Amino acid sequence: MQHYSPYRFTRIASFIFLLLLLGLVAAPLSSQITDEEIVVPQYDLGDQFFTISLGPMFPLFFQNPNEGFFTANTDMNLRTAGGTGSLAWHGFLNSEWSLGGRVTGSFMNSVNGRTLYVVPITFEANYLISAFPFEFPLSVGTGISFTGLSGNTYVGPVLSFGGGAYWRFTEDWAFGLNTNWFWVPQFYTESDRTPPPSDSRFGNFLELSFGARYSF
Amino acid sequence: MNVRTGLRRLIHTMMTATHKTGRQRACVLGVALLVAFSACTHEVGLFASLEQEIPVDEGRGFPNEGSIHNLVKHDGRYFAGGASLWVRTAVDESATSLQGWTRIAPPTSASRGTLDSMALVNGDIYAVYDGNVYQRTANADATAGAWNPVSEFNEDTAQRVFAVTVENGSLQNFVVSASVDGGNQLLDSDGEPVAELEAVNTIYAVLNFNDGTNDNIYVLTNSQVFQGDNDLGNFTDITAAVRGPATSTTFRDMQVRGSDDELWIAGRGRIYRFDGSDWTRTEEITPDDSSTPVQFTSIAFVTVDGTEYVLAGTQSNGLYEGDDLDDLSSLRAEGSGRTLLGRDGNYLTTQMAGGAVSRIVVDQDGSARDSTGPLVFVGAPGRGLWRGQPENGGFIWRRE
Repeated sequence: MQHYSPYRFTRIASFIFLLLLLGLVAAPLSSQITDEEIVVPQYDLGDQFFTISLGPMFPLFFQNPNEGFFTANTDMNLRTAGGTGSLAWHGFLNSEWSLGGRVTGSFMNSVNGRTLYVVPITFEANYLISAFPFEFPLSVGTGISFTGLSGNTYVGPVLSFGGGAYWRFTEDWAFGLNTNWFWVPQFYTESDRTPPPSDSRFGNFLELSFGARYSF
Repeated sequence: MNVRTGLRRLIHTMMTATHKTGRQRACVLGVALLVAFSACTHEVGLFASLEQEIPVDEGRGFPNEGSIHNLVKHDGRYFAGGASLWVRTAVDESATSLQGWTRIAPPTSASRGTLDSMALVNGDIYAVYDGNVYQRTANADATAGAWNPVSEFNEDTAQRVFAVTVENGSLQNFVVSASVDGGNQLLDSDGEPVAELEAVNTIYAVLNFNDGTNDNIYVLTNSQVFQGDNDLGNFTDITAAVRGPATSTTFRDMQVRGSDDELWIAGRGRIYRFDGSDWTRTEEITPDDSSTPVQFTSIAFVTVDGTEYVLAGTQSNGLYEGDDLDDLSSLRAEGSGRTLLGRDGNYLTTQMAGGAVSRIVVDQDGSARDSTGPLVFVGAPGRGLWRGQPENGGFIWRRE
């Protein structure tokens, strides 16, 4: 049976009282620091930002629709990584959603030194998760992609899905990392002027880039 | 209204317009896709061609930006003539131990070390450097000291050397074209001008051909064809008979098929064939995307799996292939349905496709990468020396 000591109870009660007292004293002081030195930026309708990004582009795999949508051929005969750069503009609809466009230019070299160019021009919807001073944009985009190889060009649709992590360096500037998945289908139909349908492939590429964003 | 307010209204308008114009947006996208598909004229899908790609650079030491104007085989070695003369052992011991090319140094007495022409003459290499003719034994010696000046051609005017058998009193084995006022002239191996060919246009080919009755020598310039006796006499201009109704053409190459079976000539837009009695010719050939006739530059014949093919190189449209040599209309550009230049190999994914071809040389008894059989060497100006061979059911091209 535990021995009960009235002095021990008094010490615990005194400790809790002191913590509460410290809290009451410190609370106004903390509020004062936040109000005066830290301004949490909020986006609103009409706010805009430009983003410039540079980094490597990784070829992931080709899908062959003739063999089933979920088949993936990672033997793309492309070097491990190429390069990519993009320019984007977005305008906020509210504090979280923004719409805009992105022009991305990327290149990857084949095992024989042929250069594959993929230039998607996409319309993007962007959702922003804020945790000041960090921001995490999520985006989905669609548009057209110009694909070039050995002097031949293909223009087709493109889908992109992306995410990023940015640090608000100043009220105007933020820096961070982007990752974007590009899905670039190449469809061919029965025609004397085009490759046969058996040549249809869906290209999958992953951008990993450093981005600088200017808000205004 | 300030700029910021204007942008707010613009974005608001975009938002409200999204639903109203969705159908139009879909239509625009559809039209764009239709335009895209109709604009695709390439033979193989871009991503699909990457899947088919195999490493083509063998790393044998031949410069990738080089090319050749001739390639000969002697005593188990290939000699390739480009800007320099190169030599390598012909037989590969294994695919992992490929034979590399060695550059043969130019003659020390040549002030300009660029090889302009070369030919194999009775086990010797005859070459033109800096307008003069030099001779060396066709062996692996790559030193400059192995060259011997040919004294009959030391006037800085020689342009090309051709291996040809001439019964001019004594047997001669080569002739030389040289620059002269008004064009080119043909010289025998003693350096004496050949009558009737003392002022002609640029000479591209000289060869022997027996039409079944006579041993003749044929000389091809860029605009004329001459036929003469095998002693270099009695040359006559047979251009009109070769080209038929056409008023002009531009010739580039002349080759004998088989053992004096036929004489073939590469011209502008046409291939010409002489069977010993009559000349026939293709219809004028133009690329799919142009009305300008194809300029053929070279011809070669190769037999693969019992079928004889003719390959014709062009100035800017890659290679053409014909699989029925009795039917000249079988000559078609690279693409679907071609055996050597089609979709089943890797030709369409190489840098040769659609490009310039300077020379085609066939070694019907070749050996490469552990397999024996026909080898086709193609010189692609600025894009190296290529070799094609049957492999795994297709015809695979690699760069030397």
